[in-house]
Amino acid sequence: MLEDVSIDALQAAMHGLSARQRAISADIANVNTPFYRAHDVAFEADLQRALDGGKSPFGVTPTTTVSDAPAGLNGNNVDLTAETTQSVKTELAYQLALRAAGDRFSLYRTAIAGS
Amino acid sequence: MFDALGISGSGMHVHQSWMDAISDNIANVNTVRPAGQPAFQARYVVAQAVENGGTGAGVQVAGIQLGSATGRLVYSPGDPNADAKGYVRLPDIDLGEQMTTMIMAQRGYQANAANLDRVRATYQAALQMGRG
Repeated sequence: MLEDVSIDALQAAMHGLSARQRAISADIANVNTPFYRAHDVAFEADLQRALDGGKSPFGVTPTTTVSDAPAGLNGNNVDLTAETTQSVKTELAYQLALRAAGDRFSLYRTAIAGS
Repeated sequence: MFDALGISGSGMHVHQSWMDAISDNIANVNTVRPAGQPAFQARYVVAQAVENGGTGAGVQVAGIQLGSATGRLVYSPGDPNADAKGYVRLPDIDLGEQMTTMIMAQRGYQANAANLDRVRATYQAALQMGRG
């Protein structure tokens, strides 16, 4: 009952996106910290592979890597422009996933309650 | 839960402390001490990333470092603090450097505040899930 791979996939995506939002927040919080290295969160490729292979999306864990981009004079490699763009993209992607899951739920609601 | 809000908050806190320290340095740029005493020492905030092995957990103030106590000697015989030769000690604070770092701290604070608002909107949307 109510086992839906779409909702599972969207939940896994939201999990990954919220980890990315945390990483971006930490990067922006450390925008002026000497010798701080930016973090990158990746999960899309793993999620795609899991879905293509018919595996459970919940097996996907977001992986965090430390950026090796060149650093500035104070040893910090946070690119505020890139982080801000990523932050906006992540927020919109999260809202999109939420909307898609919500629409899926409303289908069920219609099926359960009628009209 | 709601970690990203706290992370952005930690960034705002550190930049706020930094601005406080810079304000104090600028406020004391003309603080006169007798030549026999150490000069007013500028305050420098040491920021340190909080690592949790994953996405990172924000930033904190690791401590405050003090600038030069030597300062510079200025000839000002009319000053009540002046020594027998007429010298007083002033802090060695470069106002231009302080103003530049003030802008850096201010922009860092603004970047964190803007990110906080985006994170808030994301959580707000998540709280609405399943409604309507």
